Amino acid sequence: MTARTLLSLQGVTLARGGIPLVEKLSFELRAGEIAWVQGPNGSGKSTLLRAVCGFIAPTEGHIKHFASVGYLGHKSGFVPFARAIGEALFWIGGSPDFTIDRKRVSQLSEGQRKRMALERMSHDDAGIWLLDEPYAALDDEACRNLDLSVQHHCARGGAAMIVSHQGLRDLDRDALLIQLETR
Amino acid sequence: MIELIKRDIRLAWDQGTALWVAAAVFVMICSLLAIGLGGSAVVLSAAAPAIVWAALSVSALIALTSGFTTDMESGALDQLRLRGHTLWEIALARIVASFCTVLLPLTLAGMIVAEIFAVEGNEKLRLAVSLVVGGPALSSYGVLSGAILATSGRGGLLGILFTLPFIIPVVIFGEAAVGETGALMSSSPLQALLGISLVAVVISAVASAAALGVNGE
Repeated sequence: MTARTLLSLQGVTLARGGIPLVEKLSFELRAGEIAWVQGPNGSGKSTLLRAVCGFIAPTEGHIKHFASVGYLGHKSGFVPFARAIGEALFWIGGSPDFTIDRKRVSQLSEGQRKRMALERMSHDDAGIWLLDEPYAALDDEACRNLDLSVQHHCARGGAAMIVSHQGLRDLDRDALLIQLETR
Repeated sequence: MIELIKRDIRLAWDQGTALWVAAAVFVMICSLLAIGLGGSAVVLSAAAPAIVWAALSVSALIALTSGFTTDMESGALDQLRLRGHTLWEIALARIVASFCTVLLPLTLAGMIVAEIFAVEGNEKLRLAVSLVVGGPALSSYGVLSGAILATSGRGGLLGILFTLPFIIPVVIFGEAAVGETGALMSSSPLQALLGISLVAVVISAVASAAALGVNGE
């Protein structure tokens, strides 16, 4: 039985400043799948993820979601000067499973912020995870934890779209490859 | 909406500096104007409503006009949108929270200044009511300015210059409402001020949403 489609792009063209970055891109992402978005700098990888989030409208084509979207971009989404526990309570509904004490978000490590971001996506029950350079600034253990989170998410019927210059580590065995070119 | 307002109040508390900066500017402006007017009790008592209104307007805008920069730079705005909040909800919540965390404390400071400048009882009441009624307008314009300037990283003076044409009528009607005689709520300037505040809240929420949408692309 074919897994259900969670995300569908049909003839999507994205432009920035009038210059097309992505032209007539079409693909479907199904439950359990991982899409790996590759391309040189400036090819529109981050723009593509932001368009899937709905922050940028395509100049042509359609993007259809059949599940909610969770996004981990270059920014964590947590306000730096805020107390970490306050942000955790707002976004996750409770304290994460690591010690944040009386720290501000800016005092957390990059790994801790990304773990909170992943827990936010899980808490929101996002079906489609969009991850932009998720391995950046993470040590090996944090990278392994991230891989486990993504695998667990896909095993439960979710899907992930990942931009990564570092490859997908253990996730790329059956990944759908989306290759973007510089225009 | 309540969730967003509580979040904004929490963040304002966590940051703390915006209100302290606004309070410091407020005190400086009141002090300098009092010194410039010669310090006469009679003169200060008569001029106090105008001094308070001018000082409160400038200090509130300094605190408010960089409001969305952090949300934009941290990616929090994106996450709020993904959670299903519309931009106008986010803007409206920010207007309400800003009124609670900046305008109301500055109104309290204004009443302390009125007390120090020996403003009479009835006039003090009118001043308090005019500040509360006009506060939403100042909050709205400050938030709108912050939304437009969100990606420039520069609030402060640029935000005040941008917002100045909008706040002048607020200050004019606010100060005029203090000098009225007769029943408080039937005062024409106060009713005009209420109308300005209501319109400002609606228009600023919608316009802020549009500005945040453009800045977020």
